[in-house]
Amino acid sequence: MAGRVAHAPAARVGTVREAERDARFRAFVVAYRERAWRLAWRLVGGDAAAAEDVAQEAFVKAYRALDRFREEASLATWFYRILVRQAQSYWRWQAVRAAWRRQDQQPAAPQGPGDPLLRRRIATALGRLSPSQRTAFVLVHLEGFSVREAAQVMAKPEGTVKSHLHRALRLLRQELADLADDTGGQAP
Amino acid sequence: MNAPQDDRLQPAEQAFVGRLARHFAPPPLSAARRAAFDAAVWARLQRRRRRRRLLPAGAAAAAALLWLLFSGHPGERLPPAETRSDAMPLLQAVLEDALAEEESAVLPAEYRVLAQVFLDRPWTEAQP
Repeated sequence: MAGRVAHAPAARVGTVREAERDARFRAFVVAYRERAWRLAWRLVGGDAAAAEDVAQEAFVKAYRALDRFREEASLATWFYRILVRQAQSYWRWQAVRAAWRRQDQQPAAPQGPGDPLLRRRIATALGRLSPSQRTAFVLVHLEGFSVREAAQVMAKPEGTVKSHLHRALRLLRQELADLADDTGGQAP
Repeated sequence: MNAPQDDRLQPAEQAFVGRLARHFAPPPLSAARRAAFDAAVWARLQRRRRRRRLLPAGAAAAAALLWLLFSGHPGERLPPAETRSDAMPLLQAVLEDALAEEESAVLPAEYRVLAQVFLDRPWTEAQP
């Protein structure tokens, strides 16, 4: 009995700590939710359900690291790294599924504003890049990360990220040549 | 951080990248979807917590099962040392898994008791 009484304050401290952690986590989700969703959507090729799954799982993993990262910037970099890995894991599973899928079955078209056919073409072209090229291109050119930030998220040297960006851009301009001209694929 | 920051791009490349960014963007999350998203994150977190709470019970049950299998009925002699040693790697794995999952440097009391019984490790008080 004495032991239980002696442990009660420690249990209260634990509860308070967990409540503080939950509050910090809630604020983190609110602050990063929108961007995480958009980044995940672009990384997984416009599949809304997969994007939610990837982003939510990344947040859950970030929760466990809250105590390790006191600075929000470090936590954010780490969080995006987890999110990118989740997305790459999704792509690996997609490759397995694609191998089993019948030829005439097409994946669902990415949903969003604008031209759905163009969106699908962009998703297909991004899907043909290597995972590292796709990740670098989405982070830097579509999501506005600096090369240095992308290198931190991808845990690769900046030179490697620049090389991925260069190749990705060249391949995408070949694949989407009509978008690469000055008219942007629109008839004059 | 939303505008492309690689200033080495040529104007034509910048225009191309801008078109991709414009045409390949998700719909913004509505208030309802934001709420659903948050709820889903918390539901995942709660599931994870429940699993982590159940894990020690699972480890204890596995250890108890091993105890029954390898200790014999009360009054009987223990199996030979080599038979008991067959169970050790399995039990060790169970304990190590539980320890890794708990992310704790100190074994809880019940694990320490089990470790003492099965691994013949001396009882030590928890470090402060």
